[in-house]
Formats: sequence, C-alpha cells, structure tokens
Amino acid sequence: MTKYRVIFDDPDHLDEPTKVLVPSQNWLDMAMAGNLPPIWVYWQLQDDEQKAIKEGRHKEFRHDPEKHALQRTAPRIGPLTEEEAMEYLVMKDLPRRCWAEEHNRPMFKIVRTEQVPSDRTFRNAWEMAA
Amino acid sequence: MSTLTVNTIEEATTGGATVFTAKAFVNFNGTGTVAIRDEENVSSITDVTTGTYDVNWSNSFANADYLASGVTDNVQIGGECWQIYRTSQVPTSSELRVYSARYASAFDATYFHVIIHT
Repeated sequence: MTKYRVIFDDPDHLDEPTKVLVPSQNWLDMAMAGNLPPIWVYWQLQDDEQKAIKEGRHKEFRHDPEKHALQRTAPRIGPLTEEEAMEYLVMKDLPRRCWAEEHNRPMFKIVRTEQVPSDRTFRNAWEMAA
Repeated sequence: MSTLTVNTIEEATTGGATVFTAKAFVNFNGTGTVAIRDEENVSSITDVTTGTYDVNWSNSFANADYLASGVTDNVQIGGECWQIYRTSQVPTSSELRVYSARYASAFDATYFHVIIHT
C-alpha cells in the first residue's frame, strides 16, 4: 500500500475543511510500470469539459472522440518513481487552481499516510498546518 | 496482460441481449484511515469531509451521463442510506461526488461501494 496522501485546500472554498486525496495502489502500479499517457491528454479533456460547463452546455457535452481515445492510444511516458507518480496525480486529480496558481501559502502537501489523523470525530474541523 | 478489444458482447442465444459490463467500481473505507480496498478505473478518491468523497476516474468517460449506483456497509449501526450528489457539485466525466447520510445527517460509513455503468 502506498505510504503517501495529498492534503489540500481549495482556494475557491477556503472555509471548507482540508481535503485528503487517497491514491489508488493499482493506479500507482500502472504509473510506475510506465503505462500513463502524457498529462496534457487529461488536461485537454478537463479544459474542454470546463468550457462546456461555463457555457451552460454541459448536459449535451461529449468529449471529442479523438481526444478521448488519446487516454489509451497516446505514447506512454515511461516508468515513474512513486514520488513522480504522486506529482502526476496531483496535476491530474487536484483542481488546477490548487497547484498552478500562486497563493500566499501552499494549497497542497504530499504527506505520509500516518500524518493524516485516523480519528474522524472532528473531521469537519481539519485544517492544514502551516 | 492481454487486452480484448470489441465493440459489443452479446449472449450466444438467438436474440441474446447485449452484455453491459461495469466501467468502473471502487470499494473504500470511510472510517479511520480512509483507504481504497479495491477498484477498477479509479486513480484516487478524495476525502472531502464527513460522509463526502470524490471519486476520480483513471480514464475519463465520454461524458458525465454515466449511471452511478452504490451502497454502504456499516458494521456498527444500521439505518443508513446512500445517495449521490447531483446538486451542489456538477458531476464531470472525470470525477463524481458521493455522499452518505443517516437520518439526513452526513456520516462516515464503514465501507463505500460505487459502481458505474455507461
């Protein structure tokens, strides 16, 4: 099992509790075996969909078949270390505003699993430590 | 690993129905240290807050109109129901928000199971 988690705050919703991203071990294995497409393949799909949402045509939205197929057909990027795979996952699954824009503090951190509390009694009050 | 690529699978009997396979599933702990127990086509889940999780798909679907179903297990208490956020969070082809409630209050189920068909 992976030893990493990603904790992050959404800059657009700073009043919400800190979120915790839990990677899939199968996905990490795939990344470390070199079976991922370049990250831009996912960004391209996300951009097209976000544009459709903003323009109010999300209900009719379908991905361009050629762009969608690139997830399976684009040349693979080669094996990643577990740490590189975590960075790739941040860029794929975290909102882009968390990591691509400059803020007055870090909006995400890659941490070890044991650093995330297992007691969820006060889950709605979790905040990222400075 | 070998891959079988086909457009349609049908039952062998005459007039057999098309077989629809699940396109993704995930089974994860919703209590203690949240962790994925098993999955297919899921790159990660996000623990958003009590009872609320985002499931991120490894490969995006063609659109956001996929059918999501699921159930929760709770080994401590009963009476929970399971529902999918379709209101405050727009589901996308790459992410789905799931939410569990017990008597209308968010709660962390012991296990979440989510399955997707298209």
